[in-house]
Parts: sequence; structure tokens; C-alpha cells
Amino acid sequence: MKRSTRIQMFLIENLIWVLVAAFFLINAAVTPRFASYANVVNILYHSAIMSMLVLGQGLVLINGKLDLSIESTLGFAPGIAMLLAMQQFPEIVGPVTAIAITLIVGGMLGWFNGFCIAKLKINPLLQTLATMIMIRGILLFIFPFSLFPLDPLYRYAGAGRLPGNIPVSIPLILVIFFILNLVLQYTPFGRRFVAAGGDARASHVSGINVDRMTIYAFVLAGVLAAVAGLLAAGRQGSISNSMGEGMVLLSFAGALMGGASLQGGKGTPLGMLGGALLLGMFSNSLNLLGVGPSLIYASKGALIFVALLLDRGRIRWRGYLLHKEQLEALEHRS
Amino acid sequence: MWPLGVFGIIPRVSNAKEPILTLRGLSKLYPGTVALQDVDLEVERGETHGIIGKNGAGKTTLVGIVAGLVQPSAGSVQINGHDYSRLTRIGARKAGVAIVPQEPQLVQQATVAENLFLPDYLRRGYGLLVDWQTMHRRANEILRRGRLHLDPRTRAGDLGIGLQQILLMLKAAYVEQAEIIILDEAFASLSEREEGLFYELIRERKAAGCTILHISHRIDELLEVCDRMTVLRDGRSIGTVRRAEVDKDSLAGLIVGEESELRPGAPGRPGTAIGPAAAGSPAGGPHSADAPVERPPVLELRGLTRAERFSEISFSVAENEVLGLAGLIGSGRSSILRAIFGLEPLDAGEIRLNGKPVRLDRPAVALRHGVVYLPEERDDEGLITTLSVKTNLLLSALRRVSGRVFIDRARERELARELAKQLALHFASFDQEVSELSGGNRQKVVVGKVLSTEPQVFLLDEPTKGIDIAAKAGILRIIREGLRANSAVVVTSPGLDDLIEICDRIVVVHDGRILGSFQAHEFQEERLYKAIQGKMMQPIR
Repeated sequence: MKRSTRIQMFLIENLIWVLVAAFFLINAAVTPRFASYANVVNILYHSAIMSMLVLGQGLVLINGKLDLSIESTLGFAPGIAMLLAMQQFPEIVGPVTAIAITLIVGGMLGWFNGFCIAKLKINPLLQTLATMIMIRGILLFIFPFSLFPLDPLYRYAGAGRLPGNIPVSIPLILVIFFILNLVLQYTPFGRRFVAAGGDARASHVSGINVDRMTIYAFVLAGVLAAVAGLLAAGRQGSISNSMGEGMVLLSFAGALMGGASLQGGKGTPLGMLGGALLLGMFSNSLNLLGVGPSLIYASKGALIFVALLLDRGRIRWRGYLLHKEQLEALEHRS
Repeated sequence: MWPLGVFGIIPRVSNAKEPILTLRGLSKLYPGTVALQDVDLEVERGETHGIIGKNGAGKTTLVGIVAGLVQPSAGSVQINGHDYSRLTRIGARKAGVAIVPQEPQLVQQATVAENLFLPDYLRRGYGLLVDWQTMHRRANEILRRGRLHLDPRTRAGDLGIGLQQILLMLKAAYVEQAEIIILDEAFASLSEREEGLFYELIRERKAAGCTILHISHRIDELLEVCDRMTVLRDGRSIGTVRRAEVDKDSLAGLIVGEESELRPGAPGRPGTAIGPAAAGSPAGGPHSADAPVERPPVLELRGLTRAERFSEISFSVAENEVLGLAGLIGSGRSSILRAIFGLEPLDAGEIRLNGKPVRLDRPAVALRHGVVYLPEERDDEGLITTLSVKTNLLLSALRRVSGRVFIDRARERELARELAKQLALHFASFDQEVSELSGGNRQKVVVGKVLSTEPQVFLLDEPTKGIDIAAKAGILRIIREGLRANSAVVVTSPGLDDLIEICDRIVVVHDGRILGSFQAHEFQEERLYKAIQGKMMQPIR
């Protein structure tokens, strides 16, 4: 492979980070106060919650499925935990136990989805749609009001600050992304996970327990949604029944921009991080430019569309490069 | 300005002397393979023309082009005097070409009547409504003509494959009233009764002046219905013969190729002409003196049975032995391998590994027992095409390259490099996606993948399918020299010549049963070719 082709290939593979960098540089020049230390921290802080959903959705997409229910899990998991901690068993359930319960509830909801999809062969879209509506309904039922104030220790992940005024959530999500990236790329489990998403039949023939991988994907998505819920509850200091509403569609946007594909087997956690950051930077810069929230929402829709176009372009560009390589190789031979 | 010629076109009157179908210089290239090369063919109006050749000879590609399913890389198709440079399926249908493919292609959810009339439902009410009544009545008539007692409201998916095949034939004959009907191994999955019905239909169509292109492996079948036959070999046309000019033996000779008489003399092989006596001579080659082994078998099958697929399959394979399973498509040869590996359920029988009975009910279990399977469907079952060469190569052997938690990337790279070298694999980089490789190289990756698991039994389902000659030679050599070294090998192949080249023993399967087995010194391509047709020349061993 020629050097120039190789560089182009590298750029294609890491298109999302090229976009993040380009977007950042353009905005740094155009938008006032964009490139300041405080604003960069701000972008990361505000991307944290969404990034967890993007990662969860991304993992499910790598598995070749999709999950609509994570936005309801985001509200439901901390909701149940805080209900137990503050109203039902305040003397038994302390803040640390509550955090554990939050994650476990998320994982269990994910397991329920995964089990129904892998073992009962229910269509993922319909299964997670049912779960999404079901648990949102339960949440509305048990929380006709908002619940506050929450325990400060429970809030620490979402609202705590480290020295240098860095929100705790930033290193937390970075560590989560980093670990999952390692797991997916460099452990046997990760290899099997990605393979099962890329081609279930071939993976089965290769001796991989494909059903189990599907269940893991949904459990991970559920737990990550619960983490997102933990961060959200901590940040706003209360639990409301509308937490997370409407976020799932943008989680698709982030994951797809980060290199995932609806066919499965594609994408890396670090790519998803890029996707989440791009989403965050986008609304941040529009905010700073004084664009209204409704229009920001519309622009995010446009951003998804652009991301899809870029993805098509990326595939074409790649195909073209490889075709060119092949032709050159043929010429050399003859 | 209108070209004057437009007004000069007169609808061509069908001329009995002129061929209804003319193919000139047809070629078709697939990545890594040449499926057809410069094939000419003329089919006369009203004749039944057989297309015959071994697997991979290009038969299906050829008729696929005529039916508009495959776009040729070069050459022209002329139907009824019209030139078609780009023939689509819709165009071919309009030109009067119908095809009954190997696997019936009905809409499984739709009824028999719907399938018969798709896509042109009968209409009423100014073409806005479907005229169910007439459709069912006409469907009934058509079914009766095919001597089928079927309710036209039956769902197609509830019918057996044979009946579905007959429905397609009926559709071609009476609904589309096609002038050219292509039968692409349409008989492969028919029962005896269905076969009778099908023959009846062919004869009836012939009498009605239809032109029929008939592809088949079975020589008897062709000799019975065809007027002329064209033999394909390795994508080239060997020639067209009249029915009267050939008999079973000469046709088998044409299919297999002249060089078959020379074949046994291939390097390192005691020639067949020498006969059994010579098998014991120290000829040195792969099938040398110690061929009839008395080593304990590694894999032993006892009475393996799966309803409708195969029954009472028993054989055993020892270490350092390559056993070939020969048989036609649908004979059960693939099913047997898949059932051993746990991809298909078994109804009865026992599998023993090193003398101990085992239950291998899914691939993961089989792999743990050291049994590995190379699937026939390379891209669907063999490879994760979105992943890299390296990942694919070692997907089934992750245990070998990982430490307690992480994959040892140095070891992974080293092992992958070792495999690539052994396979003479060509690629730009280990991190290249498999989907970007040529067919032959993809196949090598699959071979590498099964090789990497270091099993005691290899089950290879058509390892040489759809790859070019050079790649094929490479893979055969790997099987012969690499795989056999420490393991037992069971292999099927689309071509007998491949099996003859690498096997120590060939077991012939026909209709799901073992017909007999041949030792190396008994390998003769013509004889084997007849055997897989279901005709053994000797008592069953």
C-alpha cells in the first residue's frame, strides 16, 4: 500500500476525531470564549451523561441490535434506588448501597431485554420499545413528584468537584471509555463480542456463544444507562419522572457518528467518545452563539443527517481507494 | 430527428431454422475467479438442450446470464434475434425466459395461487382490485394440468421443496408461457413421484414447442430428455454433441476431461493402470505402501441418522488419514459434516472420539473436543467479513494467544504471521478487512482459521469451492501436507479430481446413504463419477 493511501485510510478509520478536531478549531476561531479552559471543561461536563448513553447504545449497535429503553432506564434506575433509600428503607439503604442498587437495576433491565431478544428471539426494536414505555410508565406512577434533596454522597459522581474545579464525572467517564475500549480490543471476550455482532452465524460456527454476547451487550447498555442516571440525578440534585426523555435518539446519533453501524460489528468505544463529544460541542457552540434551544434541537437532527452522509462518503472513499490499489497491483503483474 | 430505421422494423416472424438463443463470447469474472470464459452457444427452437459439467464448470453462471440474473463481463446474448447487451431479470422475462432454480424461489408467506401469478395478479374493477375468484379458478386449472391435488390457497411455505419446484415449472409453462425454460438442477431435491410429474411436464412442454435448457449432474437424466448437450469444463465450452452421438461412458469422459486418463500418473501417485497389486509397492507418494492403516481411529461414526437427510452413516478416520466424502448436491455429504460438528441435529447414531462416545451438540462443544469444521458457505459461516485478517485467523483459537485477561498481541501477531506464511496468504496488512480480499485468499483465511485451533479432527466442507486454480492447488497441498500431519481429515469437494488428488480413501454418498468406499489404488475418475450418480460397479464393501 502506498504511503498516501495509508494516510487516507487512517483518516477514514478515525474520521470522527478528524471531525472533532476540525469542529473545535473552527469554533475556536469563530465562537467567542469557545476555546477557554472553563468552556472545554464545560463541554466535557455536559457531554458526560449523553456519552454514557452513546456508549451503551454503541455497544448494542456493535452487537448488531438497538436499544430504545436506555433513556427510561436512565430515570428508572436512580428512581428505584432513591425511593428505597429515602422512603422505604432509609435505615438500611445508605448512599453507597443506593449507588449499587442503581447499577444493579440498570443491569437487570438490560438482562431482561437481552434475554428476551437472545433466547425468545423477540425483535430488538419492539422488545426495547416495550421496555421503554413500560418502565417510563412505572416511573411516572411512582414519581408523580420530584424527589429531593438527595444524599451528597449519592450526588458525588454527578456533582462532585476535584481539585482544579474539575467535575468528578469527567475522569469517571474517561476511565469507563478507556476500560471498555481495552476490553473490546484486547481481550478474548472483546474479540468474541465484536465478532458475534459482525456475523452471528459465522461466530456460532467459530464456537462463540452468540446469545450470551447479546445478553452481555444489553446488560452493559443497562448499566451504562444507570451510570448516566446516577450522573444526571447527582447533577440536578433531584429525581424527576421525565429524566432522560428524548435522549435515546441522540444516543444513536453519537454512536453512528462514532463509527458504529446498524449492521453490527463496527465501531470502538473511543470512536463513540468522539461522537458524544461532537454532539456536546455542537450544542455548546450554538448555545454560545445565542441560538435558541428548539433550533439547537433541529440542528442536532441535521447533524445526524450529515453524519449519515459522511458515513456513506467514507464507505465510498474507502472502496475507491481499495479499487485503485487493486488496479495498480494488476498492472504491476501484467 | 427520428432515425428512419425506427419505421423499418418489422416484427420478426419466428423462423424455425434460426436459433432461438445465441450466446457469443460470454465471459464472467468474479473477484479471484473466472466463472466463464469465451463461451459460444446456439440453442435451436424447440430443442431440449442439456448443459453439463462438473461443479464449478460454470453452468449456473451461464444460464444465470440468459435468465438476466447475472451480468456478463463480456459477450452478447441474442434471444429471438434481438440483441440484449444488458439483460435484466425483467427484460429476460419479457423476452420469454423463465428459470426454475436449484433452490425454489417462492414467496413463502404467499399462497400457491399468488405465487403462480406474481407479479401480474389478475385484476378486475378497472385494474384496481385483485380478481381472486378468477385467479383461484385458473390456479386450480393449472394445478390440475400438473396433476397436483392442491388447494391454491395453501401457503407456499407449507409445501415440500419438490412441490415448490413443480409449481415454478407450472408457472413457467402455463402462466408465463415462456418460450425458453431453464431448469437449473431442478431435480436435485425431488422425490421419485415428483420427478415423474416433472418429466411429464418437460415432455408436454417439448411437444408444445418450448425450448428447454436443462442443467444437471445426472447423466441418465440428460440422456433421457435432451436432444443435444453442451459440455462445460472450467468455464469453457468443450463442445456440443447430439444425443445420438454419445452414450453414458463417452459423455462421462467428456465431462471429466481427456486428461483423466493421464491423471492417475500425477506425481507421486501409483497409476490406476497398475491395479491393486501395485498398491503395495513402495511408490513413495502420498498413497504409498502403508496406506491400508490399522491405526486406531480418531473419529468413529456409528449409524448416524438424520431424518430426510442421511441415514445409517458409519465410517471411521484415523490420524494422518484424509477421507473424502463424494456425492452429488443434496446427497447428504454436507449435512453429515454439519451434524458431526453440532450445526444440525442428529436423530440417531453415535460419534466416538478416540474410542469414547461424545455428544457434540453445538460448535463450541465440538471445538473443545478438538473437532473443527470448515463451512462451505465461506462468507456466511466462515468469516466475519467486517473484521481484520488477523482477528479472523485467530477467532477460534483465542485461548492460544491470550494470557489471564488480555490477548498477548506479540504472540497473536507471530501466530498470524506463521499461519499466513504456511498458507502463502497475500494481503496488504493484517489489519485489512477480510471483505477486501480476493475469493482465494478469503478461503485461505478460513483454512487458516480452522488450522489455528490445532484440532484432532478436521471436517472440511468444500474447501476448494469457487476459487481459482492456483489458490486451489495451494489449499489442496495444505490439506495434504499440513492438516494431515497430526490429525484426521474428512473432506468433501465439488470436484472429484480434488478428492482423488488428496484423499487416502473416498466414501461415496448417494441419497443420504453410503454406497461404498474406494481405496487409493481404486481411484478412477470415471468410475467414481458413475458411483456418485448412484451406480456402483461392485458390491458394497
